[in-house]
Amino acid sequence: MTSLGLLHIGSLVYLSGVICLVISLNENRDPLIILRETLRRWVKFLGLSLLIAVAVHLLSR
Amino acid sequence: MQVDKAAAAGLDRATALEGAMLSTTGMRSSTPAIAAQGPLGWLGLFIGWMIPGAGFLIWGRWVRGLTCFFLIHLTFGLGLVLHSGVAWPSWSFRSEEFNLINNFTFIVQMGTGLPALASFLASQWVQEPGAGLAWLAGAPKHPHYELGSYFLIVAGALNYFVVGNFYDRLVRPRPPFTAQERPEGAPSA
Repeated sequence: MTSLGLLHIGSLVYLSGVICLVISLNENRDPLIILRETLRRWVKFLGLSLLIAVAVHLLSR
Repeated sequence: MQVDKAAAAGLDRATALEGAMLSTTGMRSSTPAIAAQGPLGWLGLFIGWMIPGAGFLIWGRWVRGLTCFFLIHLTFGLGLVLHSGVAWPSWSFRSEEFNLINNFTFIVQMGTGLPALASFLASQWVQEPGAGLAWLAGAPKHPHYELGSYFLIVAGALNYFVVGNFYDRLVRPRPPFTAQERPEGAPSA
């Protein structure tokens, strides 16, 4: 059960990273800007996901 | 009038600055861009849909094309590793199996092009779980099947984005991309 949960969390991290990278790649051309934009989006994405996870956890106690 | 001239000069300076930045990083193609307009552009779109990243590769955008190729195929492959596959949904409103989410899922998953088509055909032809192409067809009863479907959805959606970006950059260039796609040394106007 724990491994299935970890697999889902790992998938969230990977998929959000890939999405952020491709969107940044589509918009920009300079590798440094692409990297910076990817990280910015990824951190926002994961932060928001964490916020939602905490809210769901608190509401389902 | 003077304001217009000043704005145009400012735009030129910004474009020149961007061009200088890009040329130092090697992301801009040093060869003149081949016009991807007309039938060639549509052919590039189709090829880019069928083989993710191939549209950019054909037009000499190696880094962009290879990155998209690798990322989308890796994501699709991970979906297959999780025992998922592209399945044909029911399209009849009267059917008990009809579910609009499954229909949208199928449409988005098909965005990966040939890999998705191969998985879809395998799911139609492979009847036994242990058969030769069963890994391509997926196992709907496997506990990771649904999670793998997300990987296939993301792979398909990303390729739609990439094909859309190919259109915006090369088929009918839009203002944010015209400066990025201009060959080195070409005039900005």
